[in-house]
Amino acid sequence: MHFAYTGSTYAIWLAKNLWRLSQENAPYGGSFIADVCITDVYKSRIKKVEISASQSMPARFTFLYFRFCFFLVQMYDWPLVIIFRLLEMGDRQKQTKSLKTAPGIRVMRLIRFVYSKKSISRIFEPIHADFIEEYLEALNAGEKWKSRWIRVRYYWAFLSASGLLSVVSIAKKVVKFWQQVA
Amino acid sequence: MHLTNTQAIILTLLVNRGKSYGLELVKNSDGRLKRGTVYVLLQRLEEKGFVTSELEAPKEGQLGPPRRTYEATGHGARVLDAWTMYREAGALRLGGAL
Repeated sequence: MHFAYTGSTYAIWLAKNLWRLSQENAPYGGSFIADVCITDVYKSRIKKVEISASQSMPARFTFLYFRFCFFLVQMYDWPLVIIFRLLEMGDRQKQTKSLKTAPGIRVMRLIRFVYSKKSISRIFEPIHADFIEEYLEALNAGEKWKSRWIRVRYYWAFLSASGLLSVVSIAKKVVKFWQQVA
Repeated sequence: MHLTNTQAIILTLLVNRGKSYGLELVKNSDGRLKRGTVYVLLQRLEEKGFVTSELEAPKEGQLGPPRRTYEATGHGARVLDAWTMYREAGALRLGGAL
């Protein structure tokens, strides 16, 4: 996206400079060679725009020719630039959103508040590591729905781990108490 | 030493496959182990001395937190052998009674 936009800007800059060159060369007969190809700037829209001037072309025609080319590029350019800018904005918003809500971060914050360091390093951090691995694998494969399912599955995993941990700790305390009594 | 069925599954996988982490154990267990419970059980096994764990050094380009790998101890392997023998003997006794 950015490349396409930069490509069109570059094309405009080039056309401007060529025009300037033709103007500068005008007093000396206005002859120069210029071959510029803008290929696949927007893939679907502009396939190829060729700007060329032969040695024998008089300066005023060169000027008109480049002005026409410049107009062509601009004509195609402005609506696309707006669209691309909007799309870029969307991308940026998506990126910031994904950074804000990285998977499992909030749950881990809550868990850090509730459980001991040992439980976190032995139980919850490994679960979180697995979660991120599977989640990123699914995202890299382009499987959006699978990544969502993985998210749900791991929230359930966090819940069941904390449930089981509570049961185990209660059972341990009961056994300890029983041993003390007996 | 008491060993539950799920703990025995984990120990068997660790003895047969060597060093592995929780997700590998879950994937290799054919659905017998769950993602949420495997680490709690591993912690219990570690407390009993059947398993040891160490934190892996983070790899280059790794995005998540570092992994913890688990390995069965010699004591754990012997306990598993004893448990398997006990189970087989129990099954034989049960088969004879039937």
